[in-house]
Amino acid sequence: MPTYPNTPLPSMVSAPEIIDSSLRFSVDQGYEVRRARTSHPRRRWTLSYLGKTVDEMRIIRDFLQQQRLGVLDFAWAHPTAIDHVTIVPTTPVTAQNWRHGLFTGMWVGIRGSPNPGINEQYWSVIWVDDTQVRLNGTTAAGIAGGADAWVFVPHAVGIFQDDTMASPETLIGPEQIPYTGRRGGFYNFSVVLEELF
Amino acid sequence: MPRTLSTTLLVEKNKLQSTHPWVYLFEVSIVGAPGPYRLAAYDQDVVFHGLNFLRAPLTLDALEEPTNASLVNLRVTVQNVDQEVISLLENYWASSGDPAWTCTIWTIDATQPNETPFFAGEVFTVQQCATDYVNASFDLVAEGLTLSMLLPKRRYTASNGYTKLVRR
Repeated sequence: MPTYPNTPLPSMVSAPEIIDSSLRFSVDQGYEVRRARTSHPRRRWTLSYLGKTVDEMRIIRDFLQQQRLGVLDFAWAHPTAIDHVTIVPTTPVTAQNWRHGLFTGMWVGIRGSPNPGINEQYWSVIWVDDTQVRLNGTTAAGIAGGADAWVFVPHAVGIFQDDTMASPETLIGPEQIPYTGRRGGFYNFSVVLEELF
Repeated sequence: MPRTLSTTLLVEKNKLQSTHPWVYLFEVSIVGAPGPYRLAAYDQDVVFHGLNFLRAPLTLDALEEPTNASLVNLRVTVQNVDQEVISLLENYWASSGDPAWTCTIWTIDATQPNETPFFAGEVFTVQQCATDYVNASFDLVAEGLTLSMLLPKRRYTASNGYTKLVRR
């Protein structure tokens, strides 16, 4: 599974849009019956890249081209929003004091915790309550302590209008890699990523 | 066909709003095939009474269920991007003069699948199927109904206390 390049870093990652379809039946008597359609909502992020060089722009563009725009899925780790959480040595390990906004089955990355077995890895979570999750498949070790946690999406695809990646907005310069006496261009562009089940 | 619902399912069914998705499980029994083909119209795999149903993008024509003994046709469209269905059809449908594929459909609550009894599945016969590289669509007809006669149901003939009301 390819991983979305986090170099160059996006200038801004939007807070996610939430996608959650439902079934609704209106009966003749006027009331409505509503049911969730899926096991949990999905998220969609917009990554904005501002003032990127030709080389940086090509890294992102090449990656998306190799995924044939919206065809192949890839993993994506949130590059800029790192939450501080408290890791408690339970089995499975609990991450708490964290308004996580996650559902069971979503994934997080963990680093810098007192439990070396879980650091620098991605874990699917089990929802406990709004501020606690358990990390599926982990075992207790060490003491309680702080850690960094960030959103990880094991399966995401790019979303493109009309299957077209719009041309990056040129700020200045031609699309060439700078070389002695040749100046390079700078671009603004954005990429929309959507979580898959 | 009477549907037996457990108390928890009855409570769930009668809620006006709920986060529990209702999911259809399909088991296609194919004569000659090594095993049944099991799909769940859901975003997660479902374990139902110990059987694994693979999540699959399925589109159902109608979500309503029959309340009387009418002939029920149901069209199910399966996304066939891996072309698995084509291979099943080539091996077990095209080669048979009278392919007797039956399909059992269960309606379950995704958060508590085993509340639906295993024997509460509705049996359909696959009448025909069509496929291309992207989709496979199956036309199902409900089985086990007496189609040659239609009995007037007692509730339509009873007066219910309103003797002057015209009844069908």
